[in-house]
Amino acid sequence: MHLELRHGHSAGASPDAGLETLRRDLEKALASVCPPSLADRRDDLLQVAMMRVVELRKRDPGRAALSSAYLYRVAYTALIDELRRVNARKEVALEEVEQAPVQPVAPGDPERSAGAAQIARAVRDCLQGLVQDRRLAVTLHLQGHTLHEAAELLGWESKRTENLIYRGLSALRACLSTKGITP
Amino acid sequence: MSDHRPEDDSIDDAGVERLRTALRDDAATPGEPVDADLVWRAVTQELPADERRAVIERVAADPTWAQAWRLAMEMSRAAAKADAPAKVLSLTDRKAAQGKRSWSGRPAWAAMAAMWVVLVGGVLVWRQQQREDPERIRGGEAEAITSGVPEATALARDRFVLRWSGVPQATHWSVQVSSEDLKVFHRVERLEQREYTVPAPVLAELPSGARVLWQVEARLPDGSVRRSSTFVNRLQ
Repeated sequence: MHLELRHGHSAGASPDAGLETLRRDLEKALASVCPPSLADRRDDLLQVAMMRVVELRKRDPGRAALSSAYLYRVAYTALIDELRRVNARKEVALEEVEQAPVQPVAPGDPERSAGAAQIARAVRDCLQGLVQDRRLAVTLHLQGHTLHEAAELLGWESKRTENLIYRGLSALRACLSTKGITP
Repeated sequence: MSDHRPEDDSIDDAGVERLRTALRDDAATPGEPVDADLVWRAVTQELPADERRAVIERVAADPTWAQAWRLAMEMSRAAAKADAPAKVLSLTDRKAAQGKRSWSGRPAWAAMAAMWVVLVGGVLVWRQQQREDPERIRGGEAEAITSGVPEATALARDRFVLRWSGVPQATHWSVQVSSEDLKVFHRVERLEQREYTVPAPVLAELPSGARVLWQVEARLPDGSVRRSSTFVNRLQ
């Protein structure tokens, strides 16, 4: 999960250039975070988030020079709202077709999705069995945070966090193996 | 005797990567509604450490929250990079930088005096900002959401109407209703009015006289959320 370094509109480019950067970053974030089952919805999600930002700027033109942090936060909130709606619709759709023959309703590899779901469920189950501090440290590690970031987020020293991650991963491995999963 | 125990076998980088992929590819089933504002503030460390840890607990347990966390992480990293100005130093900047370096040879009291000036200046600017922009004070009086239903009032099961006021700039509202043991049993989102009638069937399992706790969230135009304190009313 690496985002290329570039300069924002604060460096003197137009606010529209800032929006273009935001759009690119949203695309990247969605591509790296969303599951394959939502691949066909990425454009819609992106559009909704961008519309929210544009609307906000229209409503309050004085805020055209808003900081990137603010605009990105608005776009993020819009994304989460939209994801919630998409998931809710998906749930209703699944209820409606419950009796119908099983058809793949989302793009991506269904076998891979099923496997991922099984592993993900097992990981969550095993995390719940860990001592709390280990659980927190391992969770951040699995979310892709560096040791330094995890330590800062948890408010603990790096050495302690590192130890918790190491011990936590050992316990996670042991638990997963009892469920027939070898990471 | 060997010190080796099965739990000493950690997961290697490739294994961790496989688990990360599985977690990402898992289509998040709708769980508890994600509080996007809370997740963002946790990721960007605007929340205190203990509240951040509480959010991470939810991330561990709920795939929807985990997905929201990953998005917030990506977006906040990108925002930080977008805000970083180009690091090309002009001749003047370089001279200034050289000047700064020459501080290192001066007595420590001079550096401390400079720090004091910066600190005092910072406090003054912060106070000025607070006066000019009271909306920025989280949970400040100016932004309080107040209940329009007196606490002593017992409400009828078939007409459990909640009303509130405050936060005029809110675009929509959410209401969360809990029982006395703090279990949330009803939540409604995107309300456009400052009033909501809790459906009678939702209250069916509560005995007469039960205390019903409710909390309102205002969604602001920038997507942030402002929460009320928890209000309490009895069921008739």
